[in-house]
Amino acid sequence: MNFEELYRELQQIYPTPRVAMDGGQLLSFVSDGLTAFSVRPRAVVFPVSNEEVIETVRACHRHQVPFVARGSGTSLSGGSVPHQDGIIIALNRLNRIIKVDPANRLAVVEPGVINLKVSEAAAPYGLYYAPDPSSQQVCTIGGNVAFNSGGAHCLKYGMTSNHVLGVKAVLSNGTVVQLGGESTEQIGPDLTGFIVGSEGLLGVVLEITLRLLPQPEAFHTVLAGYDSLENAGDAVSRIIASGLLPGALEIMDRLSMEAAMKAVGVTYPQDSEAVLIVELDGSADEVNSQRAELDQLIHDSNAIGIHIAATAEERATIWRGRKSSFSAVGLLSPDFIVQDSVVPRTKLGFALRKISELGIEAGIRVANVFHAGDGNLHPLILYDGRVPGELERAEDLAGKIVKLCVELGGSITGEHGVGMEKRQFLPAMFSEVDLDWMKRVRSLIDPHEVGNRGKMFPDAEAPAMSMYGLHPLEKAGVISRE
Amino acid sequence: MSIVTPDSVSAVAEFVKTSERVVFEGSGSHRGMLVSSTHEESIGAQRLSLKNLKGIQEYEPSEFTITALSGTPVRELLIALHEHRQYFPFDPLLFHSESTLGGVIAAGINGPGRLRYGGIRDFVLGVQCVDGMGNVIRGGGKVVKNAAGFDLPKLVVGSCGMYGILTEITMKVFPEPRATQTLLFGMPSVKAAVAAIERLASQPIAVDAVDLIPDFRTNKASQALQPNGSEIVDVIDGESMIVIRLAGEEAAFESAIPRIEKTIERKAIVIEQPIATHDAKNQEKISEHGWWPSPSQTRDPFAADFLLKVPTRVSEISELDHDLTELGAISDGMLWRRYTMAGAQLWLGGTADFEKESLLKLLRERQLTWQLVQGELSVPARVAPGAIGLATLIKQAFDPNHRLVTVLDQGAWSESLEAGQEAASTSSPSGANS
Repeated sequence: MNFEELYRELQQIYPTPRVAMDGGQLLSFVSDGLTAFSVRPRAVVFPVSNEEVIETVRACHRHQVPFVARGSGTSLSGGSVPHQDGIIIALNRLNRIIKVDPANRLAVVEPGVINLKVSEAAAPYGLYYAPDPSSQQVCTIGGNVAFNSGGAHCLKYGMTSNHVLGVKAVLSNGTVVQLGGESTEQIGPDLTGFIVGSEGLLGVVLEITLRLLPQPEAFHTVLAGYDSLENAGDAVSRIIASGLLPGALEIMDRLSMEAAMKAVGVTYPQDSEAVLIVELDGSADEVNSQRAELDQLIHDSNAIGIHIAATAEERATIWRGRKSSFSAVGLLSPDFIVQDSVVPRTKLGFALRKISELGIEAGIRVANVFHAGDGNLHPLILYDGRVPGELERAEDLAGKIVKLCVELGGSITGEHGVGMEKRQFLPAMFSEVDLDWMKRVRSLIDPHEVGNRGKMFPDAEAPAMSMYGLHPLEKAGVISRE
Repeated sequence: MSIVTPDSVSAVAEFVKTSERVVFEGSGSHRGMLVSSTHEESIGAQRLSLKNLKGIQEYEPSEFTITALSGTPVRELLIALHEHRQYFPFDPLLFHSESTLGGVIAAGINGPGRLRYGGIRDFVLGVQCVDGMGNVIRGGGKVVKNAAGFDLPKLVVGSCGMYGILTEITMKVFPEPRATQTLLFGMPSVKAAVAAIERLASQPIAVDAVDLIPDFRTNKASQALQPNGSEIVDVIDGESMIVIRLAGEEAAFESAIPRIEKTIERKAIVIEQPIATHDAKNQEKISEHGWWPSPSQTRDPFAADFLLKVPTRVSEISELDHDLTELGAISDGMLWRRYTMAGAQLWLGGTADFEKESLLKLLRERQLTWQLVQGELSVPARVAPGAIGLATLIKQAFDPNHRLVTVLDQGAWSESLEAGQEAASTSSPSGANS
């Protein structure tokens, strides 16, 4: 590793303001959405073209200096935390929407383009970009691609990977590749699908071809309160069994409801221990033909209060409450850990009961928000880092919850990725033999391990963890989380 | 030539460990995607068939997941899913020719229904394979949402087994639409049909499948839609036919049809009343129209002695089709053509015996890729040049001794490799290498 040589090369590639080593510039990159980790990189570069990114990656490969490509740094798994010996490649200035092609229903964008901006650009054509992580006002497509970001509509619409038709990328060894294309059909192995979700280890995407869908023209959104999480879960089971395919199915528990009420003033049916939000979306023809059935199902489901959104505003309010809940728990507790585990949907009830028991055992409060349709839980572990031992108990509880979900046949991560946070749990999901093939692929493409070194694979070295808490952008109310 | 038929995953692993070369022997449904027996690598090699590695391992309808061994016939899966009112939205093909789950995944070929919810790659959740070293490896998981580890399930789709022999696969499934209905539109020309499809593309109207059959009066592809001989062609005007399948609630079709007509600017020919997918008396009708992959279907519209998949974009179809009509094989009726998935793919099918090089020349000139599914071609698959280096590099991780011989080794690779190397050396001064 030769940082000095690398830096000299970077200074050849970039004019002075766009390459920096001084503390001030670096400070804004030390953390990401997983605020527990704080690491200072050695330098940051701000490319404005593909060529600059390619030259940078090649230089890092040559001098064996790790790099982290970064968008808005909203990762909740520490995926964009810097490496202490390496550089940050800040991609925010590669933010052009290269084209929107309504006839072929696609858009080609640079990695620094903000997620929501894609839908904004597609809107005049009656199209939109479906994956909607709730940081979408700030998070970038490059980050979405690296971590295969999700959102509230994954059961019906899938995740980022299901909407990426192709990428142009520079691999960590400096090779430029063109994967996929503009058709949804391809020949040969699905390399695009392999790159998406590879957590920045295999390279940096330079141009991304995204699939666009027609904007849903109608929504039917129902909010139902239940006197127990169990009953809310049962309602979900009935909806699933009916054959309806809702666009979204979300549950919030009492603690997260309290938080949302405090934060955005939304109200929920009185005495609810849990609320269920169900939304049908699609063409007006479809939604109209299904709404009566959904309403009947909810009526028959022991709900103690039902609210059907009659206007776009009412719908927006329901969602504002749900989307605020993560950040809102910051009002209930100085610190919290956001988890992202998956259990088979039928084990949801059991998992929630166990989590509640584990929380009581640890003396730690846990708020629950989850994508009920796909079994993706987001336990929010609330603690006060100033109280001696509480952080450790919280982390211990977090570990137990992850293990529980894997034991039940689920996954350690539904949509936030492994990143820094869950590296040590990867072996809980994959055997040695499985980790071996992943490492072999990685070392063929990145023999010097310069691509996002220290992420995804269990690693001996780990930066010190400090407090968890709200991301500065959350405190400012700019983003909320899913 | 001997064929080995292991009935357990460990037997497959053992076979790989003790073989110098492994060549697949499939069910015959995608014969064009198997290494031909005259190919040099295949001579003397033992052929591996997974027909005895079959059976549904887990099926939990309320989880929307099903796990089966790769040799399980697709037909069996469709029947099991249909019983629980579930289905594969991507319309797996060729199950009349006994396609298997593993074959369908490895081939990566979608049916018309892919248009709505996604293709095979969007419904594979987890895979278990035996790699070229005889290791039994896994990727993905068994739940519908999972972001852990590198995405092996996606990688193997379309890989023809080049990274490993698929042994067990977990798929996502969806609730089966309660009804379907097929509409036809006669358009004056391919150009008009394409323009109509493009208009439809930005409408929020839910359509399940949109196919285009140019020159339907002479194009044999339209025969799959004629339950009673030539009746349909007599009632449709025009030269190009758009075929639209609606799926979902019957009540929604009534209001959707006028909207579709307005967008296409034509009256629909409604060739059937809505078919309730679970009404027993409708199973006959479903099979006649050859649309719905129902277990009782008697005729497979995609069965042919020669069948070629060509990914396309709707905006290039007018010109492409014009060029195709100048090929003798097309004008003589030896080959039919059908554009599917609202223009995302061209199917060419028909007789095995026609002059092929001029077809390949045309496809190459238009920078198209292709995959032979049935029949013979000097170059059975052409992969996009910009991807070839990475695909080959990754193979070293799974099969460093190149034990697994696949059709992708047969001609296509080297052709695309050259093109890829040319492209790479012109894309940057320092010249990328793989």
